[in-house]
Amino acid sequence: MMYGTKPHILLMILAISPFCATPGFAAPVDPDKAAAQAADAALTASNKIMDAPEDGAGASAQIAIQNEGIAQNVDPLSLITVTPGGPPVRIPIAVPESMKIGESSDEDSLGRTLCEVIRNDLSMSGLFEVIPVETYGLVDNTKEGIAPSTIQFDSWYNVGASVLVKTHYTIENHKASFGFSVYNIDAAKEVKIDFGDQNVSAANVRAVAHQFVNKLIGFYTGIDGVFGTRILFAAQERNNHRKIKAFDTDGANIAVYKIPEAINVMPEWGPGGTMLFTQLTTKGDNIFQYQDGELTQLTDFEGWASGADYCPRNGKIAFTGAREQNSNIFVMNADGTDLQQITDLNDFIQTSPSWSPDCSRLAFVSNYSGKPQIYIINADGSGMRRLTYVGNYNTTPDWSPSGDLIAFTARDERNVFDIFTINVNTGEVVRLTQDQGHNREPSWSPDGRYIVFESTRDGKQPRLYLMNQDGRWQTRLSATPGLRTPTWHR
Amino acid sequence: MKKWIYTTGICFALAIAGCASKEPVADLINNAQSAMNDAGNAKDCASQTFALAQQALKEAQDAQTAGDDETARQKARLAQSLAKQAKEEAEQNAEDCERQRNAANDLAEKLAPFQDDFANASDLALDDTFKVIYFDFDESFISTTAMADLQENVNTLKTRPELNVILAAHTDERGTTEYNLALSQKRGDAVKEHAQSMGIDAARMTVVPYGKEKPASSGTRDQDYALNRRVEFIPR
Repeated sequence: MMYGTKPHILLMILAISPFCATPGFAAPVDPDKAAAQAADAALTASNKIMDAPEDGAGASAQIAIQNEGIAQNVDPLSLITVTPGGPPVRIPIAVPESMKIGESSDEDSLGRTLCEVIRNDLSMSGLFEVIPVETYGLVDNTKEGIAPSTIQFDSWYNVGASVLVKTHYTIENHKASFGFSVYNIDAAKEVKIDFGDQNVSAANVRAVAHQFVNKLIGFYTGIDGVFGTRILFAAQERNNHRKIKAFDTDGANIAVYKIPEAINVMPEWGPGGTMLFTQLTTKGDNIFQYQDGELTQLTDFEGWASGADYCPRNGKIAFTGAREQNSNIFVMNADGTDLQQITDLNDFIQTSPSWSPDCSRLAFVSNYSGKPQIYIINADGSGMRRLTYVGNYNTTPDWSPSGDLIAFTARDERNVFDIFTINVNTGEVVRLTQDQGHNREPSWSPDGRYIVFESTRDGKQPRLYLMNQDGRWQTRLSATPGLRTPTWHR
Repeated sequence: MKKWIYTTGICFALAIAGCASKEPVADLINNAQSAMNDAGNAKDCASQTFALAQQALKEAQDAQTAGDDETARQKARLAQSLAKQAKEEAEQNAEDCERQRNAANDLAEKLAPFQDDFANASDLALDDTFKVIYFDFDESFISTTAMADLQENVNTLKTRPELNVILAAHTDERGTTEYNLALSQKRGDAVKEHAQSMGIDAARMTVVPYGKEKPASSGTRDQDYALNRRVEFIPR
């Protein structure tokens, strides 16, 4: 059987699960403990959802979550419900312009940037529906302050908001102070987010906005967001050279690694902020480490070594190596020592290893069955088993942080490439992209909520896109063409 | 704005025409031409006025050719005055204009890497010493046609024992980065093995897989893809 084209199975994802908790706002008792419990419970719930039959999956999911009795500690926003089989509901949120306090005339754009970053993150999160600013006309923003008594809850209700985010800032000599307030419009009261005033350099406005959104997401879901973290990728340059670059989750703050011009591909995060990449030259293909402007060659394969994947828990790098002829999976220490060969299959391709989050196993690609398929093997080389059986071109596995899913690129019966996930335990395959150009090279976000990938939907040269782990809310991160093989920082 | 300039220009031109109607047409046209040269920068920064000046100058030249000296004089004076106007406008707009020009340059710079796309695909010189060995889609076996080309390359290597080669192996752009690297390696290996069986010392050949990273053709037609699925013999 080839990959069929079926509609998305609209399951509730773990991120939204706490909204189904008992109505009635209850203040957090012990935030750390509660968040950890919520996270665990959400993961458990998520597993149950993934196991649920397709029929009435939404209903089962809801029951499963309620039975877990989780998230008593978070604002339930009781209006959030899930229709079985229907689309999950995003929370309507309003983020009006920031208020500047004081007379300083410099940095007028600071508040605008703050709000733009917040709105953009909230939209990308897939958890909130940001109500367009142009529709805030019902509210006279100038009459409102920060105190709940000054908030025109009725007007904001009529705008359609369930949640209101207000920000204010002061600025002097490029030193800024940012304040954040969040209101539950339906309950007509302020909601206390664990995010105090931020006194920072004005240049850090984007970082502060990301941190606020991450806390807000944490408040509503039990697990903080990951906005403002970094994504590595290879960028197409003149003469087919590739540069390694990185940017924030919203495509801002682009950085270019200073590496001698060559075909530099497949970047990966190494230990302690280092970057690992593969350089293709006439001298062979090898893996290098970049650290503070210094390059270290980690492999010295006369044929070919590529595609490093670093596991922080055991400090090992897995990669593809070809010493004489066919390629196999190798593991070495982060400094290139203690080389071990994990697979030993002659005459077949073994490539693209991806560590499981606990570093006990590796997913990789082999054409042992004739065509490339995803396999799993223990880190000591034992227990190799085939994971994918559908389709005849399944490559680029990336193991999810929660450990239950592997995202990969598959070619369908029309020779179109798309992103899929497979459940490691059940083998259930879910299609995430379809009919939008070629979509390849998925990489999970550190919280497992999102997948970044390359897509040719806007033209021949791929751009980088973001989507929720179930394929919803696909957003372009950058209009720049020619960006490939993204890797999210974990 | 545009209308106002035009009108001012015409009034100005007529005023001059009133007291100097007998000037030679050729002189007037020359004056207009040099005023336009003087306002060269205005082409970008006051483009509308400059375009009007250009148009007036052309009309003057046409009228001169047609023997209508009176119209030619009028239009030449108009052109001169519009050119001056354009220059002044350009000076007033300088700041905005600079910004726009920079933005245009930035955009051009951003697009530059994609203008020539893969036109300069190979940075290593490929001469006709060796034939390129081509492959079928998704395959690493050597077809009958390709085998004839390989035989020629083997003959060349035999007659020139001083030559050692890199076997630069490639795939088309379809597929994923690292699997294509692996597939290109298989192609390079297949070529090396066959050449070895035909009597070439394996030590003279090094396979370097490039996957889909160095296409020979940037197109997306089947014939482009076919050109990219290849192993090149590069003397090292």
